[in-house]
Amino acid sequence: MARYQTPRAKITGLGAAGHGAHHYLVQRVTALALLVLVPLVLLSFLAAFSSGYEAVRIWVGSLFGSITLLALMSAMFWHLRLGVQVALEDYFGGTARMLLLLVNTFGCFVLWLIAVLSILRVFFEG
Amino acid sequence: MSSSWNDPRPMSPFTSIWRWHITMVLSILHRATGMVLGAGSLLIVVWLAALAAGEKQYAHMMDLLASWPGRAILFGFSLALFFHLLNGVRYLVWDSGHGFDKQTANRTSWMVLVFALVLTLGLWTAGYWMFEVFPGQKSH
Ligand code: HEM
Repeated sequence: MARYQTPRAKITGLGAAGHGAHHYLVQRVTALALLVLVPLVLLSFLAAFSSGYEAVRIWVGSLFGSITLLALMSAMFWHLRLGVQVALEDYFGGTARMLLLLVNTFGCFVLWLIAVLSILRVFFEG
Repeated sequence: MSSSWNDPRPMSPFTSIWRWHITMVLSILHRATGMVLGAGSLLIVVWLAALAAGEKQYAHMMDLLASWPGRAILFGFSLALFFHLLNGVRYLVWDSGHGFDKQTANRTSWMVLVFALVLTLGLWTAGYWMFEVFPGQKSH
């Protein structure tokens, strides 16, 4: 039976999840954000690293530093989650896919939370 | 992998039917560096947590980063970051409808590789000679 089906007939009705365009857009919007934030943070760190603990804390705890870092962590983990999701969907199917997608989502979320809490702690401790 | 594959939709053609070419190498590298950066994000989070935890924890973290294995990891991380960043720009330009013809795509492939190396070496040169990124830890 399947032998007589055209490739088109084989896939009709199996459907896409319907989130493709949104996924694509968010991957690109976060990429744009990262394009600005990564060089900004890289340069700041280069300068701050050399001056030791106190200087780094002052930068991370500053209004500008904390906002930049919070934005970077948010854009980065959102971008990472979407990117890893696509790779997992390319190589895994069935239960393995479902489990790995969950690990990806929870992992990115927990790492983001730890990053945000750490930045806020430095911000509020001054 | 395939044992649990139960998605009946056809897969896209995979490496078995493609001749190696430079744009393909960069496509694979974009995915590979994306994963490397994912692993690197773990490092960033641990570093932030150490900074928040206190001076002792931070000093310990910086000692680890300043060790030779630590520096090697940071070097690889920065190289992956610059490659992915530059190649990401290439994707964004393509999405805007430019530069997708064969000649341009081949040329920008090499540009991305060269500039990624240049930026990485530039960052480390600046780090070592302008900022002494690992102060007082050179003796380790
Ligand atoms: C620095 C600026 C960055 C830019 C401009 C950028 C750009 C992009 C773009 C355009 C894509 C989509 C590629 C495609 O459609 O196949 C992508 C994918 C990806 N990015 Fe980034 N990215 C950046 C930083 C990062 C960072 C920091 C991480 C990790 C924390 C990351 C991880 C990934 C991953 C895992 C993918 C998926 C790769 C794949 O599906 O093959 N990116 N990036």
